Amino acid sequence: MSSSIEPFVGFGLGMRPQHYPSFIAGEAPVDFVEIIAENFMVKGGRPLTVIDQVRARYPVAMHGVSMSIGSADGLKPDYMRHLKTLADRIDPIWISDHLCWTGVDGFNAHDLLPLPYTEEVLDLVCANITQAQDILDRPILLENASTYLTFAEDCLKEWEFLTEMCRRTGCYLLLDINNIYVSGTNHGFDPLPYLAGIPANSVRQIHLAGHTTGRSGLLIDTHDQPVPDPVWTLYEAACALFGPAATMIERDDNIPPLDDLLAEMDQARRLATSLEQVAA
Amino acid sequence: MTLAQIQRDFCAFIVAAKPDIEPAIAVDAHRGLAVYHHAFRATLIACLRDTYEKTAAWLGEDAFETAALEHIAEHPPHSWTLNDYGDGFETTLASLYRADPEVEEVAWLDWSLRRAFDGIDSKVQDPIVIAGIDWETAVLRLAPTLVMRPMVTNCVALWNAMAEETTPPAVARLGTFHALAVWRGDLSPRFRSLDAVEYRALRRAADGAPFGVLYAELAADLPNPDDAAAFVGGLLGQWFSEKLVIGADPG
Repeated sequence: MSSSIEPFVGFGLGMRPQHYPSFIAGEAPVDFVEIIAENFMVKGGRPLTVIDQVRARYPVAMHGVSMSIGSADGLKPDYMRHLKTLADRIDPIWISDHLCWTGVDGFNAHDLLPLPYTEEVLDLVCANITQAQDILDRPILLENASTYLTFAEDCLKEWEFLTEMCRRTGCYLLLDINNIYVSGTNHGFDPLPYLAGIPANSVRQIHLAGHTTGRSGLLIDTHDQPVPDPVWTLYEAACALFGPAATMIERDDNIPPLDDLLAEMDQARRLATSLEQVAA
Repeated sequence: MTLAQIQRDFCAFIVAAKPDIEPAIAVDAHRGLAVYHHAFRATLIACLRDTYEKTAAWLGEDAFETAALEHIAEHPPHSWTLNDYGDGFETTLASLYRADPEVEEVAWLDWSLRRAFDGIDSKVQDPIVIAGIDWETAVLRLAPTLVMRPMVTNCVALWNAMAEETTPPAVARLGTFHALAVWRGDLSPRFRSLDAVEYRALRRAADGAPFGVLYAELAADLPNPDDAAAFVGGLLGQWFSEKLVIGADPG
């Protein structure tokens, strides 16, 4: 197993069905695309034709939502087998999922559920990551999920948990800047110390997205809005701390025309590039 | 409390609002629990609405959501993929709409088309191999996505009207035998009606009956046995051209 992932620096988009034709034709001016892995973990048909055509045009990052790396009963062999099959088919630049759990005892909530940040959970998550990396024969990236509650037994900050997780397993991070902002607002922490606590050499990818305010007053990670100003500001801070990292706009709902997303992606490119020039 | 217990209690809350999880969460975190409770249902309802698009259009939003919630309460998801979650919803609808069989039939068509969409690809056999086979004992190889069943209502007309966004006809019970086949030959799923003779032949083929037996049974249904070769040859040609049959294996 390769023990490291070389940085891939570029700007991309999450590929959504409304925009498949542009990606199939290679018309979208992006450096890479990110796919939702589960959408292509199928037996046959059009999804596999689409991903083969897109892969011929672009580097592809596989982003999953169902690994459930924090489940107390471990990984699902059937899921991991399908994930490996897709990875073997498309040779992605990397495979990512979320620091979360989605179910236990065979139940699957199909949601990114929060984990207590304790030593017990850290041990379990690290064991599951090691197993996943062995199965996939490569290091993986894990993304910080938005959360709407914390646990009474929490004894680690989220960034402390992420840092130790990377140190123990050799995994990397997909930092979702919007999710940091959402969780920070919901739980009353300052996102800047969070970013400062993250080891720069662990960050391989950044997500930028939008959110909405729910009826409860909590910010909800809907990914259905343009990237808002506070997230751009945090992205600027992340670029200054981490240097160049693959960055993409992640839009999951209320999908706008492709040009709108490309404009947001170009905004990220300009911002990151200008900071790079200042640093040089 | 162990992580396993926390996760079991968390699941019990998002599925049925059982409060055992509350001691494990922070004191100010209760409104967050409600977010997860709501998201669980919203995700599954959206999944069912997407999979059963024409059924939702036929029932209307409120009735569909009521049925979806009933299904969710009785059938918590277990597969790693949401693609599987619609499995069995047509059975829930059948129990909820016993007097309206068209609901379950439209739902069956929605579900079958969705399964065919990303089901196993049809790999059509080399014609040279097919030409050299002993047809008396050969067993037809059907499209792996093929499903078929009898229907009692004009569900196809209803489904088509909703697909075309036109006013659907009145629900009617069919006077004669009528079955439906759903499969995918190339990239797009398709469906068409089958009469009793064709349905029985395909069903026998699916059960592994040799082609010689199929031929004899089809010929026996004809008023004039001399028409058998042309009739069966025509059917077989149609099945191959539609990729409903994709090859034949030696018996």
